Amino acid sequence: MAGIIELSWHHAVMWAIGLTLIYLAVKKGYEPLLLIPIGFGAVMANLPLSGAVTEAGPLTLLLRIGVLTELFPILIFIGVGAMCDFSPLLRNPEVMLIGAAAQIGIFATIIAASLLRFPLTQAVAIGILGTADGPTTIFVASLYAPEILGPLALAAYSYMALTPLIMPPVIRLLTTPDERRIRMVYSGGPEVSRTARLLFPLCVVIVAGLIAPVAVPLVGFLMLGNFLRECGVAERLSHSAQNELVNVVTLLLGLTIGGTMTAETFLNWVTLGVMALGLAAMVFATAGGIIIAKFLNLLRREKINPMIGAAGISAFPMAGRVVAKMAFAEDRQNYLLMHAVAVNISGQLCSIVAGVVVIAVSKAILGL
Amino acid sequence: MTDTLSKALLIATIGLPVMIGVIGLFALVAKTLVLLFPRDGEAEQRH
Repeated sequence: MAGIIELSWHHAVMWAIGLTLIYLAVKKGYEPLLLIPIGFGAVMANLPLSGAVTEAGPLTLLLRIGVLTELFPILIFIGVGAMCDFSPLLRNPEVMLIGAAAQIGIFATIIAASLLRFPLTQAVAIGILGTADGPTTIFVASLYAPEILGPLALAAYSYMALTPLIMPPVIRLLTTPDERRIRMVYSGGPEVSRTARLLFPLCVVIVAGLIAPVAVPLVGFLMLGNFLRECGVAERLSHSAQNELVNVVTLLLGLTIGGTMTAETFLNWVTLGVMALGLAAMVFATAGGIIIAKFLNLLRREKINPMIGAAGISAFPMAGRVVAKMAFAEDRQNYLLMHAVAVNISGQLCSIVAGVVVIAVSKAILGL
Repeated sequence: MTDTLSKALLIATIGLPVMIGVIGLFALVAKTLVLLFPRDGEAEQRH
């Protein structure tokens, strides 16, 4: 009976939010692996006097052990690395510059959040939404702004799921029909040897670690996963990283994030601000990639379709697919998928690099 | 201009070129590896 006595409308609103997330996941298929545990965690955390979020409650313990220590997002990176095939990127390393361009959204969002008077630590964490990369967002949030972890994770995964709705209007606004019809020949580029694929993750870890030691956890675990995939002698580990590890950690991470969404911390203007800035971050990132691709066209004889710039965000493979679909809709003979996917893969790597750079710059210059 | 905004601008001013530089370096690493190790017997075998 104690729970019923303590019940308030705040709890009911949070149940509605949690149940909506579960509904969107089950009925609409929006990021179900994340939204179901987040929604369930939110419901459990908002039952009055809930034992799940007391000092020794399981969700509190998971938050302390797995999220505030940054352990869960880092473990997910092993799986992400094991899922990534960097061959298209090794064939055409130039696409990494387009992937880098899409990360402009991060910096634009940090400035926008500062203009809205968010504290700098929160502004930095909100800016990472511009990567459209859930684990990186959670990693930076747990480091700089754990108090808004729930809204940030929710914004990251919601907008990733909404990529097919967010990107097309921005692309149409910034490109002409003629630009959208530019055809690109896919030559495939040079063959990539197994040796090159094996050495790439090792070299990246060493180079990144030497430049910015703070990058070692993120880049190191990502590249470990990729090495497991490419080495060919650790099939079981690669398979486990891509499946069991990612699935278990995603479940626990989602549940923990849902557990942080208590009415006291979630029902406020900050959450609305984070959600609005998350949307702006996606728009900035999409626009950044397109604008740089258009700029590159001024310098190139062989034009690129500026839409592929929009695929530079980390939402993989959705961003690449959206671009390819739009190109096909404009011209039934225009097959951009391979180009768009190459940019999309580079966006995955670039988003992590961008997250690390933001952390390093913030720490080194501002003493955060 | 508020202190927060000026610091945010500083992060952007320094972070953006650093990020592009680091990614450019990774692109260079990728290019070099492909040039140094163009082929081997098991090239293009996917796992």
